[in-house]
Amino acid sequence: MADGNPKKADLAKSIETESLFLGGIKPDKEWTELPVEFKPGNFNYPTKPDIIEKLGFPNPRKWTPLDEDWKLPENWKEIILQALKDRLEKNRALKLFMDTCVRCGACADKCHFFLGSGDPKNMPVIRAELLRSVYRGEFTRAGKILGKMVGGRKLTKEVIKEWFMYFYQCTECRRCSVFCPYGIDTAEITMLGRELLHLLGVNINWILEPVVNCDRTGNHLGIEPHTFKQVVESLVDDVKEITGVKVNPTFNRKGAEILFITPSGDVFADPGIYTMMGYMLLFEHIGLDYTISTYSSEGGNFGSFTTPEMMKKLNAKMYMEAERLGVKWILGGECGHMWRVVHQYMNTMNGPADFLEVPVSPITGTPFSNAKSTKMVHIAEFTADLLKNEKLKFDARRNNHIRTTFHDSCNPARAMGLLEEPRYILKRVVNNFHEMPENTIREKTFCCGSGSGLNTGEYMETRMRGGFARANAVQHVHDKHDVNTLTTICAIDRVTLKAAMDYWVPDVQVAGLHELVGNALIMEGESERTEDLREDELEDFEQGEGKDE
Amino acid sequence: MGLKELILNHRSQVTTRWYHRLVEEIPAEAKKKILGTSDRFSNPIGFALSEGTQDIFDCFFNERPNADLEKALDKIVKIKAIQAITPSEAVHFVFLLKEVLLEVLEGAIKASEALEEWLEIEREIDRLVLIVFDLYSKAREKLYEIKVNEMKAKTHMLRRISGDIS
Ligand code: SF4
Ligand code: SF4
Repeated sequence: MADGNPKKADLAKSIETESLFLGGIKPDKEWTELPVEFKPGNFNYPTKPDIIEKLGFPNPRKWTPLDEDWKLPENWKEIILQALKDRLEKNRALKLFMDTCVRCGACADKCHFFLGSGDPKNMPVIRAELLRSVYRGEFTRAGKILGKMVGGRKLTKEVIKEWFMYFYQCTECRRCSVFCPYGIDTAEITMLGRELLHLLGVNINWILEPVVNCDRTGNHLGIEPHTFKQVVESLVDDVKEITGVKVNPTFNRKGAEILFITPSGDVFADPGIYTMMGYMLLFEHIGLDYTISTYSSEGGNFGSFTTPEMMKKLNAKMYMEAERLGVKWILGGECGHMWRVVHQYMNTMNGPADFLEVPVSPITGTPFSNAKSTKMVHIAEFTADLLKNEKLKFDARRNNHIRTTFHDSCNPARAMGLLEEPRYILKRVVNNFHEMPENTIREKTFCCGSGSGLNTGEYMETRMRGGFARANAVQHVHDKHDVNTLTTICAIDRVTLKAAMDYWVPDVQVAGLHELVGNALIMEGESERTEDLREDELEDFEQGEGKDE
Repeated sequence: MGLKELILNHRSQVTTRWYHRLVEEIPAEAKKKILGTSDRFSNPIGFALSEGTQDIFDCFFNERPNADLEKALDKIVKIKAIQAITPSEAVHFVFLLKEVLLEVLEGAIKASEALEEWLEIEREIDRLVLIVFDLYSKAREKLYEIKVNEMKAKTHMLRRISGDIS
């Protein structure tokens, strides 16, 4: 071997001792000693300067996490410390989260990113510690004096880099908080961490560009009203082709009883569009008086991954459109974070919406008193009520080619407790339904691994690590019950879980709940159904003997 | 008793040690947690590594069909292919099998009458490395494919109305 090259034995040794197993980390070091190394696949692209400018956010510039110098504002330290101080004074929960953690470790192995990477900084307790240690080191007396001994440290540029890495390696899913005896919510800490980083211009394009688009045209892709309408109409044609029935959505129709808002992923993205077809079939089936707004054409709210102000601004259009169109109440489609925003913040942020009525199903007469304050009903509640009151004609055998399990999306499950309704519907419209293991569903559900605006192409490796815990449970029901479909009520999931399945469990497709409802509905005047909404062939069964409800 | 039979008789020692060598590479704070439970759903990586090493051992030494062997290897390769590690670090786990066998059965392997058989086993393990290289590349290609498909899926309807797809 030529001089200067490592000897064979040394090479083997170095692979062994420095081998970076899961997340690219050196073993047997305390987390505080682990370096932050950005590599392609473990960071999201920073926000383009013009996007930051459009938002009026600070420090627009060209940079990448791979750069040594992130071109932070000169007084970056002052900015962060002041902002943290303000927030600690204003936000009592935050102060409590900072002070109460006893480091019991109950949350440590509950995060999907930890489970898929083995990186200790992905343990929720340490993720929070990234901020808490600075709080201690810079704000508490003991920390200022004793520093490291009491877990305190100074704010450095390296810490900023670490925050960027790990607050964008948290999907704000809140699984960890379910296991914390004190209810400490690491997602809140992540949200705050991201908020602080915005002040330095350290943020990601994938979140902020949709925010700008949404602000301008009403949806993430920045699609103008006429194109939005054209796309929905093209789905109407598909429905006609498959079922023989023409569904009749209306747009911006004043005086409609109900405004229907869904994430734009249902309108533009595959496989979300099949869920959109399902909604439209359902509304046609029951003769619902509804309209779609081409301005409030996005249920999702990437503002919620940005700052409270931005979340409020983007959310406001829901009520504005409801008021402008003079509807009685709002019906919301299958979405994850949209429901967190609606359920937890909308009323205080942009309400009260006194111009709306307490929602009542026009078909069954059921009042949705749970939506009394927001005036917005989740489609799963709405459809479950229709089924309970036997208002739908359907044949579950049209879904016989589908063997499904159900993924509880983090936000509907943990932020609004919507656990039973989707199952109630699934069990009726599908004959083969199998639950994943108990510690992976309902409030303990595993995140898709790409939520909170992390579903970028450049982040695929990290996303696959984050999605592994979910996929592992799907693999289990696939092996055991031959499950071939993962049903979910979130538009982001329909994209991100598709990627996770393609990688981990390639025989499993991802579907929306109302796609399966649409498959099963027996429509008046329909032609013989030979295909499902994806134009996949149905399994053979004797048509016309469907069980009615 | 032939060397192979001896190895088969030491299945649990070999696979356990191999598994431990794999998780040795996990940082200390994380390791406690990873090794702490054998529940598949609380510890998916630990489970996959443990099951993966056992399956590979069984397929390899019992000369099961190649497809089974590949499936077993793929379990670990897919996990490795998405970590922030180099390709050589990703395939390194196969080499560990040699080392573990040597550690567990050093005496028997070094006996002169077993040497031929050991060399043959070593050659076979080298073949495993080649399979793992292929699987690793496949996994990486899959990632790129997923990226492209996802971009396309996101704007599916826009591409359709613009006539890009039908
Ligand atoms: S909120 Fe979710 S992603 Fe974030 S630390 Fe907790 S479990 Fe992990
Ligand atoms: S479970 Fe709660 S108290 Fe325990 S370490 Fe985690 S955040 Fe701290």
